[in-house]
Amino acid sequence: MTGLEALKELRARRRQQRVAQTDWFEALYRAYLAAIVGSISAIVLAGWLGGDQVSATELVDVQARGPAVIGIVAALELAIGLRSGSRGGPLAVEPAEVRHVLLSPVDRRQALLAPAIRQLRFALFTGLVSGAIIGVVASRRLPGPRWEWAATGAVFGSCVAVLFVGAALCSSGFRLPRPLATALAIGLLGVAVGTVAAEVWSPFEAFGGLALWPLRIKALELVALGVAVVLVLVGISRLGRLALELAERRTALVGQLRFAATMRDVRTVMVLHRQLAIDESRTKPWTKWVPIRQPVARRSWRGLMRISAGRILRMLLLAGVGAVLIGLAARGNRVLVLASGLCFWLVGMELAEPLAQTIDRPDRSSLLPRVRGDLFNDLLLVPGIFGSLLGIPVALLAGGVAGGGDLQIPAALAGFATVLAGVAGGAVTLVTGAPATTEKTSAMMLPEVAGIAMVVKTARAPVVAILGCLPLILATKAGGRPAAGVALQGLASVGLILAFVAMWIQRRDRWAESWRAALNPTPASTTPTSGAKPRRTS
Amino acid sequence: MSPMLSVKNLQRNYGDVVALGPISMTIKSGSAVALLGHNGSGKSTLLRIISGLLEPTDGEVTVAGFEPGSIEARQAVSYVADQPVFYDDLSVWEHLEMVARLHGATDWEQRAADLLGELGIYDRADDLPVRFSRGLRQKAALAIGLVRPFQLLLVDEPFVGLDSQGKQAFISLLGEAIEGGSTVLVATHELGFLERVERCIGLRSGDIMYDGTPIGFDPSSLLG
Repeated sequence: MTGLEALKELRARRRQQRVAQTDWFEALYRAYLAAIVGSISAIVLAGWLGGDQVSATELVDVQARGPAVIGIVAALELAIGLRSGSRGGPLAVEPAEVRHVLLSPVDRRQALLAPAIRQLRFALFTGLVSGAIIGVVASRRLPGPRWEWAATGAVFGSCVAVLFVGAALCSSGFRLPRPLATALAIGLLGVAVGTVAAEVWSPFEAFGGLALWPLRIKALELVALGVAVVLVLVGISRLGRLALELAERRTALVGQLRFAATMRDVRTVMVLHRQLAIDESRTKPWTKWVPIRQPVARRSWRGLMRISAGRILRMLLLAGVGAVLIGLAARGNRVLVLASGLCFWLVGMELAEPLAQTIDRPDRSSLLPRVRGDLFNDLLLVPGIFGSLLGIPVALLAGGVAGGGDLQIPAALAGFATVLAGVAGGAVTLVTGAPATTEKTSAMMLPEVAGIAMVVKTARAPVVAILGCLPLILATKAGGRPAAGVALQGLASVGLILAFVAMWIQRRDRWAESWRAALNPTPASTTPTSGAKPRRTS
Repeated sequence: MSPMLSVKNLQRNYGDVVALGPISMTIKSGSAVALLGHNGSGKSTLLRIISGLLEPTDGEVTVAGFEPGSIEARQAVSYVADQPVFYDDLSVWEHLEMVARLHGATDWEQRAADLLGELGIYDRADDLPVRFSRGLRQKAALAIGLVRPFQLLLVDEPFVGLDSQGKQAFISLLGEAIEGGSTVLVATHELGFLERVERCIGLRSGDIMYDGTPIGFDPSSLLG
């Protein structure tokens, strides 16, 4: 029996053992949860798009520009795939598989074929289901039978999913260096976005066109499917070239990442994602000059001066997207403020890194002769200043995208305020830390109440960031009053929210202590208080 | 006769940091070599490169005349890492079976039983090694590394966590491997192990500071 045959037999035996140990009730419960989440997403999406059919002019616009715009999704998947592959993705085999199987004299391509097909199958299923859901939602506004939209959505979703896996496998198999993969990814995205902006032919139109087949059919667009399949086949033929160093690193991190994501531990997800991306702090700071004397703020400054170029780029990109979303929200799609708030929440988490570093090492901070809340607020001083500086271009961009209407100034103010609210939201996430699994208070609650409490806890930080859009939100409800004046009131409200967050950070420990004391009152003391000597106990 | 291991101008960097080299050396078949050095001296990096887990930044390595990571080299090299890795759902015995069969070993059962007996974990054969203590994990990893046929055995810090019985058993098993014609390269801090080897290579900050018999080795030469 060859090593490969032995491997197949041993894997089959493990699979049988796993199937025998599967908790089918748990699996069904997960499927049930996934169905609920999927349905809610579909309803939210449908609500966002509205139910009215597009006008004839809009339909012409969708037919003309839709393929290129939707093609950006394909470019994005391709870009993410290239980057993932250059870091050892998309496969995440078990660490023991790397040591025992990939170091054994078995053909690596053959050994990795099964995990690769599993990955492809999962990606296909995810793409198919999400594509079909989006297709159904789109059918509410676009002409054509619902099943046609669902089918083409599924085809498009599967195509981009295969594109992702194929790009990642090729990138990994050809050992693309990370800088080259990143440059290629940026280039592809640039082409996709640029061609849409310039209204010229885009190479990604064929992919986007597939999604619009109920409106018009172009057989040539089947080439897109062919490209995706060819990429996967080429990637699979190069499976044996997987870099073990990257694979080992990835296998260890992906497991932790999944666990942290399950626990809704945003900070850990972020840190692990950075490790996965091999995104480390700079050895040499951007500048050694420190303009601050206060020691805690100095520490903050020094930390931020070591942020890698990649992270700065990511922050700028997120801030740019957030600003554009605010501008578009001012133009009509109000719900985009939610997405914008989420972007700035992520930016805020990055900016508040010095605070995160301190919270990650409680043993260090607890030794300092400072109240924790004061220390945390001091650490947020420099991120706040950087946030304000970033807020200026964000405000200009948001105002620019909003156009010249009444809502231009509110959009600009919202842009500025949301950056700061994002820092506050990020700080709330960090200070709150990972949600504990066995909190005493949760354990005492009814499951329904505990569930709501969990949702509130998880959502409050992004909500703080989203509230940064208050200048715009209030201005849209201004009625007859001048929008700019109402937006200024909104800005003041954001200021109050930020002040409340700072106060919450400062006094959180004290409040928590009082709350615990109220829940668990200490038994009445038996110690005499009259000044008499306590009696000896024998 | 070609050497079992040949290293020419080998260098490995992690970003800007040079972790190893450039170094050159050869190790002949059937020899027992100790690789000594403090933390960060490059011992583990060297072993991982030879095993094929890491790729060098520069230079050449051949194992039994083959490039590390090639099927022939994988057939020849058995690597016991300092941090053993196990499947969550396989017992010690199942690990032994898997590794032995992947390497084409036929009469592995008796060999596996003997190894577990010598290492004192025969009665734990059906337990999951992921739940073992540090020392037991180390013993399980040694058994897995030795159950399959090999020409070059690489062992990284084998004595960490081992009790005295485990240390004795491991040294005895190494002796058997050498007698069987295998080459052994052990990275360790244990100076007591030097009397068991014929050659000692001392590393400091990625460079070879000493290469010779253990008799002439001065541990202070490895201090920075």
